[in-house]
Amino acid sequence: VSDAPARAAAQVLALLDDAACGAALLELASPLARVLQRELSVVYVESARSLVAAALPCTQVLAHSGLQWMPLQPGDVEQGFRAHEARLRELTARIALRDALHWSLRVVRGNLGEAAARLQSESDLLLLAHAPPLQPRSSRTAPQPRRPPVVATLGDGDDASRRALQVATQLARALQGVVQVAHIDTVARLPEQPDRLRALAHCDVLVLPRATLDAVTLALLRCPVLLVG
Amino acid sequence: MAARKLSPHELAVHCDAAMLRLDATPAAAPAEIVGQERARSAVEFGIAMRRAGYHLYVMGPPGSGKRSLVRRAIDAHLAQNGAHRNDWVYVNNFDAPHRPIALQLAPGRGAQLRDHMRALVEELRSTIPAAFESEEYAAELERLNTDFKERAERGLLEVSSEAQKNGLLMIRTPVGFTFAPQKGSEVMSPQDFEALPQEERARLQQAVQQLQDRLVHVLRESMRLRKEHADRLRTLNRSTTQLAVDHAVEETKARYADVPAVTAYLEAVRAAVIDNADAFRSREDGDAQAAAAQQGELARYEVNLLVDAGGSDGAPIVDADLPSYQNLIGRVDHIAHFGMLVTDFRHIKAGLLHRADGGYLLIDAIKLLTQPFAWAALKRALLRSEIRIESMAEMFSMVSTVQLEPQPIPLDVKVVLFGERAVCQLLQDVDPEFDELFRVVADMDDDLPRDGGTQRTLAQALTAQMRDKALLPPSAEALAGLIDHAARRSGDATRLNANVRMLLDVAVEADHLARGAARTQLDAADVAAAIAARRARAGRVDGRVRQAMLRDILAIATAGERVGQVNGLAAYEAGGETFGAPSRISATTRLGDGQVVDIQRETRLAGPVHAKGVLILSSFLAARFSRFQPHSIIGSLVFEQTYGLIEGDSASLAELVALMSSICDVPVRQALAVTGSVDQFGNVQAVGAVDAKLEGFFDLCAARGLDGTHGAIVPHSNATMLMLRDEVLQAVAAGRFAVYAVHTVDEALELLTGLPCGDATRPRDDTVNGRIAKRLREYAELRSGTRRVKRRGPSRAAPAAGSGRGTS
Repeated sequence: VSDAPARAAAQVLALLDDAACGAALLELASPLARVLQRELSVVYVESARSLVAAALPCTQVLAHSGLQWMPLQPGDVEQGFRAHEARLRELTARIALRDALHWSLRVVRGNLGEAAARLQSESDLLLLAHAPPLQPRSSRTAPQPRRPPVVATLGDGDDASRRALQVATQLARALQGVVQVAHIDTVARLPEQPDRLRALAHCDVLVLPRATLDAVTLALLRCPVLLVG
Repeated sequence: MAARKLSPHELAVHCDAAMLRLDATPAAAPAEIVGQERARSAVEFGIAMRRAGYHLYVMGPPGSGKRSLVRRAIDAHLAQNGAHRNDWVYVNNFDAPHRPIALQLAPGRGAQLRDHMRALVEELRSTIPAAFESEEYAAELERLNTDFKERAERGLLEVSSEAQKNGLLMIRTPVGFTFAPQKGSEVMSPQDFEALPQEERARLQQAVQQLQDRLVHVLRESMRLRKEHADRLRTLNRSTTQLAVDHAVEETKARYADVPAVTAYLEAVRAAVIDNADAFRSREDGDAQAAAAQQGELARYEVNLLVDAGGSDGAPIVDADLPSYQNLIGRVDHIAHFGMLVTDFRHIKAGLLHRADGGYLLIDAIKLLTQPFAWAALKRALLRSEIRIESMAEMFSMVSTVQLEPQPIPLDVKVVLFGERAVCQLLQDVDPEFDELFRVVADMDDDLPRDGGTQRTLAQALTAQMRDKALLPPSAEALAGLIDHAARRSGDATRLNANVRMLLDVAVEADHLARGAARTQLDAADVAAAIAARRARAGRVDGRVRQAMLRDILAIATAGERVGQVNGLAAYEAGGETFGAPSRISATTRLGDGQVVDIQRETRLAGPVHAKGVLILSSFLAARFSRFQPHSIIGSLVFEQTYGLIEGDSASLAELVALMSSICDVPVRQALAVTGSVDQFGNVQAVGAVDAKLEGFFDLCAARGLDGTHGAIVPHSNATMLMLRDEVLQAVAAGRFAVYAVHTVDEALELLTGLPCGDATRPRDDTVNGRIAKRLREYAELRSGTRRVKRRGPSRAAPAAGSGRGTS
């Protein structure tokens, strides 16, 4: 007898790669885990393509903090992985402590889409985000007012979208946010509608049935996505 | 002229109670101050003069009514001219918070401004968040953010797309961005890359080079976009805030349109609120630290009401009880915050000068001068005509914490210092700025002329003040007793001591005695008993001295005769009362070169005035008897059995008599005591404290038994001043004691020796002056060698001190 269904209902799985938006994703995952009384399981996906690129001759890197191109070696990438992991671990500990959660962090290598597919049996709630190439940051001299977080979901009336709506509602309650439901004919045809996808990307988190998306479509989304099911 | 024996009625002048009874109905507004016309005029002038530098120093004895006089003058001036006072507030200086701004407002408007600012902040705390929570703001914010995101991503997406066209992938690694050759949707492996033709690898390298340059350009551009985005957000926030702020601030400004400084401050408030709108947004997350920080930020808009002339600081007269440096000029408090001492404009505290601004500040000079740095601070404020709050610790570099430099406040105050004459003279001597600042000096008289008018006025003032103090109503005889006491305390029967407070103290004590005896009125007996009790309380030393004399421990003869020995009279103070006691003055003489040795002076037990008296009498002797021959004696003078400092010249008559007695070997009556000073011509001059001196000798004689031989010799000019006790008067009336008034030393000598003095220029040999002249002539001849000594006995060559008949 497999215990996969029980495990799947016991944790919220958050997948992160080298994106700088790890904190934002954890801030979504942690309240959700608290509300659902689940464990927070964080998976750091080390990008395999970064290692391959670093192994090529004459590869150069433009550091985040500078405008100078420097030679890139596999060792630099490995060092970057370790630093990022340490930063994530510290961040997860702090956020989980605030919400009184059990938490874990592990590291896998590959890419985000593959990891999502590989780990889908571990949880029915899988939160992930492809990092946008560049995140806009607010200026300190012009603080933005705090507005309620927007949790978006799609609805075509089937069971999967109803389940997604239910989770979106729970998440919105945890975040003290609002739920926006976009009605479409069928969620399954979402990948064929790039304009709608772009429009959805302006929410704080998009809640979708897992069966709806493949890895390519997922990569098109520029906002955190919570896959349900 | 001969010595005059004074009759009993000359020994005291008593107030006529009947005269006081005529004015039993008190005046509508009885004067608290009796007399003092000169001081009153000076005070009224000083109070009315509003020019700089015309501050007052009011000096005079304690209890003379200095403060009452000044307060009455101020009240009268205020009743006629009113007070011109202002409210003062300190507000935050948004450009330089360490230099708070002082604002002047009409009385009552300071508190209004404080309340209006509180209301303004409360209003902004609701209107600003409402503006930021509006749909319009949210929509505009979303539009700006989306626009920025899209523009920022567009460049990178274009680079990424361009890379793909060249067979490259733009990858985000944990270290940063990089480009790598693409194979399918993944990065080409090193083996595949090595297998590529040389030209293809070169093309890829070149494409990477170009993309790298472009990516750098895009990232630089993103910085500009970010700044532009921040500017647009700031502009949005400012315009959103301004909508909420303008209306509220304009409404407040309209209330203070007549005060440009306040409207300028409100403009600064408007700008500060717009720049710091976030502080007005309510904290909903329950973060206590953030809430405290918000309170701190909003505190910048508070108003520190320093002087509330329309309220608690309304009285224009401030009496400085503790004129310390900080109490005078104000202070800046600090509060501990996370282990640091911090402060701001809200912690500025007003000083006495602030509270008295536009009015009057009354200060006790001694209290002021004994407070470190207070005098200098007061002068600095008056000279600059401004109050500048400076921390003492900062002035002396004792602390390194950040201090405030509050904007100085213009000062318009009249300072009145109260003090002793000596303090005024000291300040005039050592501080040149004193005369520059305190140009009006009001000098209260120690005493007043005693006539019917002043006695009645004093009686009315005493009656009124006794009524104020809820004392028993005084009878006319009781008032007369108090007035007699005032005359006695002045040391002159023709004057009244100006220390009304002292008389009130006597009245309070008499009231205590009268109430103890269940009386409903204060009688003369109560006053007399209170005065006697006061003397008794202070009379420990007096009693011990008299006991020592009665036991012959202190040898004072009150009967018989002695050569070269006279009972002088001394006075001293104890417990606020003046006591007198006789002192044995002795003199010895011998052949010499004309010196009179003052043993007190030689042993540094005499003051300069006493030394002067001895030199004068020495000069008198030489001038009278040795004008045409060498003055060939050496005389020695001493106060026997005294161990403290002797000062004053009131014993010079007694010393001269002792010296002359010694020269001529004529004994002096010990039943008489002598007081008075002499000049170089032998005239007797007035001295002080005659009553106490005389009564001291009387008490000793009375204790040993008065037999009609006892008496005292006083200067003629003192005769009208006497205010002797009733006991002395009764003894004089009964012929058991006598008081003689003398004009010259010769009159005193005749009384004391029983011999005539004779003509001073051509005396007969059987007179005192003749004997002295003969003896000095013999000394002169001996000294010049024209005469040889004939030894006749020890008393001639070296007369024993105090030889003669008598008992002690």
